[in-house]
Amino acid sequence: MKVGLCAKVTADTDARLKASADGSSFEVNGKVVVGPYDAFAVEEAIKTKEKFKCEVVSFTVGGGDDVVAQLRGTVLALGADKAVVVSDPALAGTDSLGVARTLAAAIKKEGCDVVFCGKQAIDDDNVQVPAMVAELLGWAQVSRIVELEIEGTDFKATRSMDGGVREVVAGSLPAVFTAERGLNTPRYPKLPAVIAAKKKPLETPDLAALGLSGGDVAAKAVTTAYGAPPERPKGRKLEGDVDTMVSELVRLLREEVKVL
Amino acid sequence: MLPQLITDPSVLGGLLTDASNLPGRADGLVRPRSAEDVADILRHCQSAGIPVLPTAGRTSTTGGATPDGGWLMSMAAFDAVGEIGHDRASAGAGVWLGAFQSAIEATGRFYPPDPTSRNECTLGASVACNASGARSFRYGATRRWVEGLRVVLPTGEILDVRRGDPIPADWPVPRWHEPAVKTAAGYAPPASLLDLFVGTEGTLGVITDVTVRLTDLPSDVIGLIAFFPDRASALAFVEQARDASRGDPRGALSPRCLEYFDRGCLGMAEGRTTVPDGAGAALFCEQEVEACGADAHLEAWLEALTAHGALVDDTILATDGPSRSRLLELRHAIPAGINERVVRNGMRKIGTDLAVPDAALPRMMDLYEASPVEHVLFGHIGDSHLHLNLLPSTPEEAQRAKDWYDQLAREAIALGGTVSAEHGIGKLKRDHLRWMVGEEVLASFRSLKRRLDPNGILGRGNVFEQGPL
Repeated sequence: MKVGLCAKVTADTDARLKASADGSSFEVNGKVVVGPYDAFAVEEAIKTKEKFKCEVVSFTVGGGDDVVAQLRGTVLALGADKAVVVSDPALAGTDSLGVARTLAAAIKKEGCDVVFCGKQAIDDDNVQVPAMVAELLGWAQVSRIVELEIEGTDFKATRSMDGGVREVVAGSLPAVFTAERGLNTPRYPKLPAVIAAKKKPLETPDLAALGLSGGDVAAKAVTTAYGAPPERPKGRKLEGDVDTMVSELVRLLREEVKVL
Repeated sequence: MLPQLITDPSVLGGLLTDASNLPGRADGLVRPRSAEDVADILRHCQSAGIPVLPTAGRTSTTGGATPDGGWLMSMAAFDAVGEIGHDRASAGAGVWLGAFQSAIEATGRFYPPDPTSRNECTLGASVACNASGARSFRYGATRRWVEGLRVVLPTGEILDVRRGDPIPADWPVPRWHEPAVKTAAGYAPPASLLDLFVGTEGTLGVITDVTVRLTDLPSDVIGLIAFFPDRASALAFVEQARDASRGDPRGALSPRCLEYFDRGCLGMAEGRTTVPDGAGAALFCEQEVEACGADAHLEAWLEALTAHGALVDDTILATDGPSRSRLLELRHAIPAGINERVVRNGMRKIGTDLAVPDAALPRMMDLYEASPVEHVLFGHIGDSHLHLNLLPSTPEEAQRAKDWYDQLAREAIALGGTVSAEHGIGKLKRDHLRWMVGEEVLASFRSLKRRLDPNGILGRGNVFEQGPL
């Protein structure tokens, strides 16, 4: 058994995103983190490792110093044995299918039997990649799981549906699972493990090393612009004594807002 | 012209107490919109002998914001954030402290004072009580950061005060030796006029506008909870971290806060968060990332924690938003647990605010731990300033707790400490203040108060007994 997990490093939940002046990209004002849904995937991967005494490898597409630092401080510190960060200039501007092809190739190369992903990224709310990875690998796939049991090569996964109905899905590995909130409670990174994680292997293959070319990840649909929503009109402050302000408020409600 | 006096009991009813739960009473509420309005109100009240108490977030734990008759004066209209520059920022006294800090941080600058209530208290009140918080271990209390104030004296004069402005020669200024610890008890000996309005609990003037000094926003902050088998090992670590931080404030081991939680606190947190087996005490610490880099900090912390027998394998680290939020769960679980106990017991808790010189802390902790009723101990151990919370469950226990608190206050004084390190005196600690400073020094406070507020209308009952000054 070998466990894989896909970890996307995104803007922190309290970071602010801002479209660049020319609208060609967006800037993150704040830190980057492993996404919160991915954190459930990490926890499930570590739990699976503990049960089967096996290896865990994390996979990320695209990376810089920030990404590597995050993966070391969280994924590797929490118990993953190795991180694979695919870095290639051709990945700039790729789409979900390009990311999925890259991940699938990396997962195949490592020989994983099960892969955990977060149900979605929190920056672009994209949910397509895990299903595409499963399809490209020809594996089973269960999305948004809240419970999982693996016995031998059989699994039983529970999904939470509307109205509290629980759907139980059974199948065989290999499989891709995406994690929903409630699947587990992610553990905290421990100080000695964070320091030890600095020495864990982190590979940065390019596309060629995975048997892919730039053409394999060329986007079929491209983002053409980023922009801000239209600004809301500013509130108005009424001045004067109470009687003046009340009369003016009533007039505005009657004549402009037309609610009276 | 005086602003309208509101006497509707349903409006006043919500303003009659503060976080101390002391019951209060008021005859009316005024809502000034300018310093000139404040001046008109104070002149009127001074001549008519009507007590006035500014009211805002009412987070005082000492009854400082509980009125004892007279008029309440809402500071809500002083809510404008002014200019935020590189070195200074200004705002009205009624701006929420947390919102002010967020506005400053959005520009990449930093105003450090962080009382726990910063999202519920106003800037003006935080100056009036010289607020501090966890980060004051590194950054000091509010006083250090105040550069200018607009103040209305109890007689109605409006002063624009800058740091360094001289005190009028005919004002009787208190001269005494404050204890050499973090303290918010009594009128601090002022270095300049500005100091007379910082930390004097609003008894000498009404602050309407504030200018503060800013510093660099830390590039990053590492949060950490370390568990220890017992108090002794935690304290030994604190001593090393404190010395290291004071020796090299930018070094690899240079915490900006050191917060202690005793075994009782950890018991309160159990069920809400995971507490490792064998943990007898915990420290919550924050380290700003300095030029040496995050890795150097982590290694220095691990080395020091290991040397002092911390449960290093259980040391929890937070380096980003989500993990910091989870770390805060433990901190928040403790007050939540205490409040649950208070509700269940149906009795008010008694919370202390004593600080002692570092060398006297172990002795003080011995006494805290010997408390005769159920208790938990937590707080700013870096400043040797812990909050003992006594949780009585019967009226007899409540009396025992009060007597014990009195005894602890006397002991803190004898050890060279203070009866209040951050909460102030308000209406609940006037006896303790007298024990600490003595009648002669207290008389010097009264003499200044009388010079500025002849009829004793402003903040009546705070710091001094109600009655003739």
